[in-house]
Amino acid sequence: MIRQESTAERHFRQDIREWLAQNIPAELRHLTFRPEPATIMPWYRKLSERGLIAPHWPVSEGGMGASAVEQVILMEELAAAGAPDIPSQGLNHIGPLLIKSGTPAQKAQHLPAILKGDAIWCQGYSEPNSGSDLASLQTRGRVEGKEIIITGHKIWTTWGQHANWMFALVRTGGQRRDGITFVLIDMSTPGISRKPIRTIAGDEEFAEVFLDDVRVPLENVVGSIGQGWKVATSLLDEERLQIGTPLQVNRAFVRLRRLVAAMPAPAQAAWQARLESARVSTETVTAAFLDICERLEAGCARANESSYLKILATNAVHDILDAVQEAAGAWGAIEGPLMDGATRLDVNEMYLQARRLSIYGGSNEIQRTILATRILNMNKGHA
Amino acid sequence: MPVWSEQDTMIADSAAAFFRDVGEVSRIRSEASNVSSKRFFQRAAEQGWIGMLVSQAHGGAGLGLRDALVLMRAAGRHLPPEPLAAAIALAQAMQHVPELSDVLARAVVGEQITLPAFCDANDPDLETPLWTRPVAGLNLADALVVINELNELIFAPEGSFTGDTRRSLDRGFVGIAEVNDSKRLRAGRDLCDSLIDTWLMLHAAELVGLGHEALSRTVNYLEARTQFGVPLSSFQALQHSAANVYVQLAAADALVFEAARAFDTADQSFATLASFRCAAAAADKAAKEAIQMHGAIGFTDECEIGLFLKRAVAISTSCRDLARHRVPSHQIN
Repeated sequence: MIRQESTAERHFRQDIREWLAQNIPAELRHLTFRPEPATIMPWYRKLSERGLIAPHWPVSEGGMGASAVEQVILMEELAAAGAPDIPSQGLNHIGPLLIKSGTPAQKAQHLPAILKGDAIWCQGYSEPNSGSDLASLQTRGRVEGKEIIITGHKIWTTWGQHANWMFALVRTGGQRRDGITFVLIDMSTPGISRKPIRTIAGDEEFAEVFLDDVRVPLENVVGSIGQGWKVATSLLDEERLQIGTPLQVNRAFVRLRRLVAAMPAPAQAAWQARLESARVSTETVTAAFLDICERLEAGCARANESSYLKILATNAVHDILDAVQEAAGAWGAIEGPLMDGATRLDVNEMYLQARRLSIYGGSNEIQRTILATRILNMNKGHA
Repeated sequence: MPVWSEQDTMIADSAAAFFRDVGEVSRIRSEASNVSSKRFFQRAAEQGWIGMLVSQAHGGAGLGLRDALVLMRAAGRHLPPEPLAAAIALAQAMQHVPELSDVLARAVVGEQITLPAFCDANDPDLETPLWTRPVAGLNLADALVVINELNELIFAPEGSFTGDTRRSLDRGFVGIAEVNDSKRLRAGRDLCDSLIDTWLMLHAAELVGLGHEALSRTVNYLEARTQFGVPLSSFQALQHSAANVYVQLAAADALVFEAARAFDTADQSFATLASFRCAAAAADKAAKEAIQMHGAIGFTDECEIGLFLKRAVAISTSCRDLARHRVPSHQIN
C-alpha cells in the first residue's frame, strides 16, 4: 500500500507481522495448494481465536469490522509471511449473505460455526449445462409439506468433497431467474454423493455433487421460495470485491521477490525493472480495491462497477506469474515445488492454479460484457 | 474514480465551464497561435489555476495536490496543448526560491509565463550558450527555469534566450532554447524532485481525463453508427474492447488519486512513476482503440478522435525527460 498509514494502522501492521511470524507453522508456509481440512483447519481456528478470521464482517456479527486499509494490511502481511489459503466460501459468500438476508435462526446456527471453523461450506451454483448461463440451472426442488426435495447435479463445487454444508440454487418452478430458490443443504443428508475432480494443477480443489431426492427442511430456505436469484445476487458487488482483493496479487509478487532474491547479484540487478513493474501492478490493484471499498461505503459506487476489479486483479496475477516462470529459467518446467522445506518455493503450482482466476466467479468475458452493457451503457434498448 | 468531495465537484465543474467558454476541443482545430495561447494562459491564471498550489501568502490559491489533479483530469478531456501542468508545478516550486519571488508574482496573475525545461549540461560553471532539451510550449515562455543533469535549477530570465520552435503533434509548439545569460539558483535537490513529481502527477491526471473522453466519444459513436442493420455497440468484440479500455482507465484513475496520498512519504517517487506509467498506458490504449473503433472516419483529419492520440503522444514524450530525472531511490528486495 502506498498511501500514508496512520499511527494506529502502523501498529496494527506491526502486531500482525509479529503474530504471523510466531504462529504460522513452518510446514504451512508458502504453499499454493490449500491443504486438506485436517491440516488447514487448525490454522483457520488459530486465526479465529486471534480475531483475524473475518476482517470484512461487522463487529456485531463476530467479525473484525476492519476498514478497507486494515484489510489490505492484513492481506499484505499474510502474503509476505506465506500464510496458506483457507476455505473461504463461508467467510466470503454465505456468511455475508446470511448477515444480510438470513433469519435470526439461520444466523444463530451458521455464523458462529463459520467463524470458529466448525463448518466448511461449498457453493452449489454451477451445473454441467449451466456455467456462465447460471439462470438456466435445472436442479429441481419440489416443495412437499415442510420440506423441499431436491434432485440434480452440481459441478465445479470448490471443496465440495470436504464441505459440511452447501448453499445452493435450485429450481422450484418458473423459467430462468423466476422460480429459483436459495437453500442451505446439510451435506450429511441422505441422497448426496460427491466425486472430487482433479485440476490441471494436480490438486482436488473442486468436486461434482449429485443430489438424489435430498430432503431439506423449509426453514433452510433463505428469502422465500422463488426469490433465490435476488438473494444470490444481492451481494454481487461485495462478492466481486472479495474475488478482486489484492491478496492473490500480493502472493504472486512475494513469489517473484523470493525468486529474484535467490538469484546471483548480477541477475538480481537485471531483474529490478521487472520487480518494479510487478510492484506497479500490485499497487494498482490495491488502489482500485481501496477505491471501490470507499465508493461502496460512501454509497456512490454504481452497481456492477466492481466487475472491473476482478479483471484487473486476475490480469495482474497472471502477468506476475508469467514473470515468475521466466525468472525460474529452465527450472520453470518442473512439476511440484522448486525448493522445499523452510525455503519452499513453487513456480508452476500457482501458475497453473491461477488459470482458474479468470474463469470462476463469472468468467472475465462475462465481466467485460457486464461492464460494456451496464457501466458503459452500450447497446441500450437494442439487446 | 475516487469518492468526489464537494470541492472536487466544484473544481471539475468550473474547469468544464471554462473550456466550454474557450471552445473545448474545437478551439485547437482552428489555427492555434501564440496570441490565442497567451490569451488562454492569461485566462487560466485569472481562474487561479497557475497559482493553485501556491500558498495564499505568495498570492496563490493555497490548494492541495488533489485539487490540482481534479483540475487536470477535467482539463485533459479538452486536449489543451498549452503547458498547464508544467506552469502549475513550477509555480509551486518557485515559492521556495526567494530569488524568484517577483517572477512568481507575475506568473500567478498571468502577467508572465515561466516554464520549466531540461538541459544535458552538468558543468559546475555555467556554459554559454546553454541549450535546453525540447520544451513543450516554449513559444509562450517569457522566462525559464532549467533543470540540469545534476538536478540543479538554473534561471533564464526574460530576454536571456531565443527559441527555435516547431509545431507539435497536439497543435501546440515544442522547441529548443538557446540561453545566453543564466543564473544558478539556490535550491536543494528536494525541490527539484518535488517539482518533477508534481509535474508528472498533473500529467498523469490529464492523461486519465483524456482517456475517459476518448472512450466516451467512442461509446457514443458505436451507439449511433449502424452496420448489418444493428448498432455497432451490439457487437461483443467491440463491447469487450471498450470494456478493456475502461478497466485500464478506472485503474489508472484509482492509482493517481491513491498516489496523491503517498506524497511526502518515502514512497512518493515510486507512487509518481507508477501513476504516470499506468495513466500513460491507459490513455495510449484508449486513444488507439478509439481510432480503431471509429473505423475509417477515425483515421481522417476531419474527425476529432485522432487528436486524442496526438495529445497523448505529446504528453508521454515530453515526460520521458522528467521520468529520466527521477529514478526512484529505493530498491525492491
